[in-house]
Amino acid sequence: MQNLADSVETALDTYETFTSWTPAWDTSSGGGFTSVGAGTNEGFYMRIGKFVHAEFRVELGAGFATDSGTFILTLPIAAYVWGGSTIQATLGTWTARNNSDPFHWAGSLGLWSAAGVSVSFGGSYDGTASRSRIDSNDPIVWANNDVLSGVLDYRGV
Amino acid sequence: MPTTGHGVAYPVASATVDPRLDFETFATSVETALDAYETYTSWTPVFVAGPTTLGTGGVAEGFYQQLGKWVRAEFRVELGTGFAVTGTTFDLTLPVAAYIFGGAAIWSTLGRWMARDDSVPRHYSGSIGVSLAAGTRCSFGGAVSANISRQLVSNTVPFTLAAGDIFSGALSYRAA
Repeated sequence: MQNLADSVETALDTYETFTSWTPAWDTSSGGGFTSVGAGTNEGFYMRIGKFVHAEFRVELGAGFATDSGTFILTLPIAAYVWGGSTIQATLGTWTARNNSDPFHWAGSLGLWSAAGVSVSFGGSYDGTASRSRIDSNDPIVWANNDVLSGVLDYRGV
Repeated sequence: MPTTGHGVAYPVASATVDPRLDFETFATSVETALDAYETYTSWTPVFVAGPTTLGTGGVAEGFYQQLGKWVRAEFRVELGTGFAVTGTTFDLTLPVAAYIFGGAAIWSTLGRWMARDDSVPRHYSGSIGVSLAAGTRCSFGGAVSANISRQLVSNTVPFTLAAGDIFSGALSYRAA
């Protein structure tokens, strides 16, 4: 009986476990931060069955580097693959803080990869409207102490 | 009867065996643990700055659920006649303090908000982020001003509030 109770306890613990996830950028097909310099690059996720909750936060420090092109973030767990072209299923929300002003830009995270393994950042202001995706110049030219963060709630594959 | 960390009960080895009662106690304790996951707790949204007086006919409602360290919260404020706003940039106390990231900690994203200008109507939206390094409060980014969505929600951005307007949000985040 104690073994049965322990197995239930283990199952519930699994539901409550956050796993560390270091945000990584797919610079082979897009852009992103190739280095945060003296900044921080942190994330984590939890999983309940197929449901995935993930959070990340990047704070740039001295010596950071970006790769030009649309920022592409690799997901901690691949997302459900929709029908059609699959891309731009909405998975979450992002915020970009331009620390010097400060301004706080926001938008949505949508599937980039048809395989469900990465997202891009929609709703980025391009000088005319909030309709582009984040890159090295939109919505801001990145500088030390700027922050890019996001939260995702989605169905895993 | 001893229990696990989640309160799942089991008999000690030296106890008198009563299979029916032991399984009933076990099953009830599992049910209680699962019920805890599914329980919404009432949460009245309290603004450090923002709509602190709702006015006649106004409502401020919220709730949250917590599954281990994962918090899901929702709130909705509808302004009534005679409402009042304190301060400028809206600042809301979270129902449960958020995880504190490294660096300056602020502006980890927690969720999304929507503001309805009821008279037009128009519907603005943006993201919710930690506003205090202690992880206890949040503010609201991506508000449009002069056709650019980059401001924090305030008493005049994205619009000057009036009776009948609605401000709501949904948060999903790791607790401290």
